[in-house]
Amino acid sequence: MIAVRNFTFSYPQAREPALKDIDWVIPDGQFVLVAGPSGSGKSTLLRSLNGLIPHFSGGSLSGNITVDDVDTVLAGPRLLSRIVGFVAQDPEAQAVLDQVEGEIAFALENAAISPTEMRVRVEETLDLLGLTPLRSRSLSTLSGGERQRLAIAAALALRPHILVLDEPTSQLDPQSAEDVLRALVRLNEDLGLTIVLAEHRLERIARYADRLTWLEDGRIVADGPVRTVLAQINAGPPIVQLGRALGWQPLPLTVKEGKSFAEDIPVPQTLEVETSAVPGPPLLEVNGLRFAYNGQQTLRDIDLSIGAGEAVALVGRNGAGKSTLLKCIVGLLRPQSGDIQVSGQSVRNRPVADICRDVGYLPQNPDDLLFAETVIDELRVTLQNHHLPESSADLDSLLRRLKLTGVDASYPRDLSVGQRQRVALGAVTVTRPRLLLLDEPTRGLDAATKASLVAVWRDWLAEGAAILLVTHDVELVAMIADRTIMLSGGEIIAAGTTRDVLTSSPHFAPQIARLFPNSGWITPADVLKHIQP
Amino acid sequence: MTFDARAWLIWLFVGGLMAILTSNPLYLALLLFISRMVEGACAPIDANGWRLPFWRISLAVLVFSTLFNMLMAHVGHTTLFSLPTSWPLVGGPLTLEAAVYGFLSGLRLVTLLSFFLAFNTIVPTHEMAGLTPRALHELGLIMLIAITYVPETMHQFRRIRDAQAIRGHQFDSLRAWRPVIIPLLIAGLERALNLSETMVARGYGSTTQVKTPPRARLLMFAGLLLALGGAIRLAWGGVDGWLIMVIGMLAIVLAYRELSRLFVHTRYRPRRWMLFDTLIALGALLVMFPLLPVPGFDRLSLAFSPYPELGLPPFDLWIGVMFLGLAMPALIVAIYSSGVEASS
Amino acid sequence: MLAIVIGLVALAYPFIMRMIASSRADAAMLGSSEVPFLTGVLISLCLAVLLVELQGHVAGAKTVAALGIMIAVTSTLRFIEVGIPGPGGFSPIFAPIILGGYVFGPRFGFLLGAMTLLVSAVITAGVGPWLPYQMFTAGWIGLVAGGLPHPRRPRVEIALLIGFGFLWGFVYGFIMNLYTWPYLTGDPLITWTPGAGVAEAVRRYVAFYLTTSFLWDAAAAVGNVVLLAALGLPTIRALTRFRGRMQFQVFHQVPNP
Repeated sequence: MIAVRNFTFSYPQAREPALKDIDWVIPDGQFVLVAGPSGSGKSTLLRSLNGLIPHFSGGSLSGNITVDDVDTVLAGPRLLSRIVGFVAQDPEAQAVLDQVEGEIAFALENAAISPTEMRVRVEETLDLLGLTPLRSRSLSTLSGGERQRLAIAAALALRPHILVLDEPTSQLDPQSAEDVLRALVRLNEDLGLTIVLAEHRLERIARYADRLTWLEDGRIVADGPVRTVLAQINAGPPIVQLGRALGWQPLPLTVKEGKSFAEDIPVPQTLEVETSAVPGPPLLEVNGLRFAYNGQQTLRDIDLSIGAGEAVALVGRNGAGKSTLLKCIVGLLRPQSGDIQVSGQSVRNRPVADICRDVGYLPQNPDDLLFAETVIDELRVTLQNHHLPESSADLDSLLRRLKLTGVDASYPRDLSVGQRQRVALGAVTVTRPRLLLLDEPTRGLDAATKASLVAVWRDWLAEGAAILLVTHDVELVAMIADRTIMLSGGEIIAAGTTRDVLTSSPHFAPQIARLFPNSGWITPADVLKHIQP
Repeated sequence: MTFDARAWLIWLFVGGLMAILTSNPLYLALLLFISRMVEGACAPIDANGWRLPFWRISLAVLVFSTLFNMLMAHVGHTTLFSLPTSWPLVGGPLTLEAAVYGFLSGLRLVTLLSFFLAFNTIVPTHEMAGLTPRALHELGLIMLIAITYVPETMHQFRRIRDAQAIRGHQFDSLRAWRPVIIPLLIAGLERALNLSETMVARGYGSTTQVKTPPRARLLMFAGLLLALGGAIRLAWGGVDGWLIMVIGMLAIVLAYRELSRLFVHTRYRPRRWMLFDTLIALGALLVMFPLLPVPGFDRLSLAFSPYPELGLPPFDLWIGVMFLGLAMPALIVAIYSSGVEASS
Repeated sequence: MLAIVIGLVALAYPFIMRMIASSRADAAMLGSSEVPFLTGVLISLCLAVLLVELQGHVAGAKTVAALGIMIAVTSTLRFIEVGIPGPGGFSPIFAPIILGGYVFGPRFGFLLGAMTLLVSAVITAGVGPWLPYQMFTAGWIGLVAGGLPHPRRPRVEIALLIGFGFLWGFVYGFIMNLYTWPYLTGDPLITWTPGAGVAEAVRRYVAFYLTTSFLWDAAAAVGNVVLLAALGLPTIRALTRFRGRMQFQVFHQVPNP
């Protein structure tokens, strides 16, 4: 049992406490979701359950936390590691050793468990997480999802009966995330492990959890059964948003639960075809593109065209060739045949820097871009790279658009994830490119941050920019993309309006499309517009 | 068929020591041959792609050392030709003996290299890291972490380089690498913080500093002083210097043992020491046998000097036979694989 | 503690010199073959003692992880030497060792230097008899860098580090040559008069050094200078930002009301 009593905590040199007066009791065997906007104190709360706070971070606190009647502050993380297993966010920064079995055994070696006992425990942990086939693999050959399951296995090796996970799926694609979450559900149901999980993909996990604790600004704002809490707060997957808007009781958490309510809503017989603005002249044209890497065809006969003011989404499984296509467009990879034209000019034989003056490419990890001392310098560097003049009025207006005005003199690395993402966006768009390529721009972001980014993109689209968006997030696609292209094995297997493409594939269909098949609706807003015109 | 890294370490030590101790070209050639043969027999098939261009380096070393000694040492009776004595250092007679001497020095270095190269190729990286003594457990862990994160860092390096390239960055000067190196470093340090958090959460060590117990420290420093003293004694010509040095080394080993007791730690599936490993170790130690003051070996034949006049190097058959002990790994592999073939 | 370390190391080097010299003067017992072996053994023993002594000071997950990953980053730089354009004898690993030692202190510096050489030798299959010397010298670079004064003004700071890097480009080569020298040249000098031993040995060593590696080391020194000048200050800033977070260990608890 975990008992948090009147717990307040401040990081060293912080003006405000990160956690304020937390009272929280978790009985054994419960599956608890901890959610809330980024910066609300989720990570801090989870880290105080195994003594990392304050033993690892420093800081001052009052109140107390006991886990199985052990005081976390007095005991410290080493002792608690046998009671509480901990898994952090980044799958790439949790491996100590280079080999799967060895990594699981690391904790056991430190605890000086006897070799025979250790064999048994490593075996059982490998089995629990389905890692047996990977047992002798080197870590650098594992995918993100496999690594994250390995991190869970390593945390479980000491046989703790509480498992604490801090957004373990935020860096993963949906399929891997699903695997990880399913493993957690099994651990909870079969072994009765207490699980405390911070997560923002509520749609996948909400129905399995016993309880949702919603944090805002370092306080618990709502706490209780998932359904009850979701009814009180302004968040959740599309089906919950719709259910809340239409006052469905009890609030549906899954498409299945929503079906009975959906039957009462008449679906239009004829699809209303929205005449979206006719796209302007094409900003990007790709014809007959082929690319092979190490003799393996990764892109085959790609044709696509994006006009001004248009947003196109590129979806598909991992390894389908999405990122390869983006890299071909900016010239980082040179295709074997086919032609790519940006603003009517072929990119062949043009250096990367030259192409990128016309194309803003936001790479998957925004931190890869950031190195300057201040946010404003980060923008200036790009201008200097292109030998462009800088005007402070332009820079100011860009910062204002990106909602970075107050932090222009801060060190970029100290900002929040969402802010860093916006700084990186600023750094690649300061040359005012008309074509934007976005690679997984919302990975690991919470709903609010996502919404603010979408608002910025909409502004740009309205001004005649074009966006090519690579993402796994179908709800994001439904929100912003006019057209969607589906890639598989390096080939385009479906292309058309977002509505058509997403509703035709059950795998990629958003929740609302699955709830109302053949309706053409893909977002809660579509439904609401129909019944409340 | 693989052998324990510790057995290989003994093999390497003896091979290297022999290569240093003998200056007789016949023995050196034998050692060189044995080490190449063992590498050929025992190297894993999927040995990592990049290899030291051994023969090219060897040739360079031999040519350089021959020429260098010929130009610098003007002793020996067989003068090949002469340079004007007014030239500093190189001036004087250039002799055949000096050339041969230089060649032999080079050959010794090449043989030594050959043993190390065989060791590098045969023993996998993680087993090499596993050789860290237990008293140096922390450093061994640091090494393992570093090895784990090198491929990761390479990957990250490429990613950051691409990311900077697409914002128009051009890598035209050294300073231009700043936007790659700095994010790489910061990302690394951030990762280090996350990693250490994970380690603590998995019950890694204490967060307090471990003090070296005074006794172990005393032993170590005494050992070091003794070793130093022994070496000085040797330089002055006292044979007992060896003994003093060995005592010094033993003291340090003892200190290590003492320290290793402080670390409560077990190992997952430690590699078991097998009969074959014993054979390899014994085979290697056999080679040291002629060094002991036992009768029946012509120990003087180990040393060979072309000065003052070049002669034929002596060769003691029994010492040569003993050297074959270093070929034990190749022998075992040969017997083993023929056994596998026969049975299949 | 530090005094002991420095004393030890200081002892070791003149000793090696003297030993080579005296073996020359009175070389009846010691052939050229034992000299490199003995120096190798002594250096290894010194390393063994130093490493275990310093290890006690890096215990703690943060330092272990930071060292591990700094070493990984530095060794990676060694791989991508081709990527960073530079003159012949120069290796980009020394600048990070100097900067790491400078920011995180002498102990961290020593381990960073020594372990970087060890790790990169292990992963590039470059373990050789020279390894203890390399580890020792590189560690020594980090150690001394950690003992440098920290001037306030960035210009002075970087000038100091650049000068230091330049100097060590040569010192590193000089010490590494001590290792190859006894192998390549040796007892032709036996025939020389014993009295002339030391002076002659030094004279010949200098000749050896000048002919073999002066240019090579000059490239190394210049490479260090260029690298430190280009990347020194931002690296120091980045490392200093982390120093606070890395070295933090204490916390205080407000008692329950």
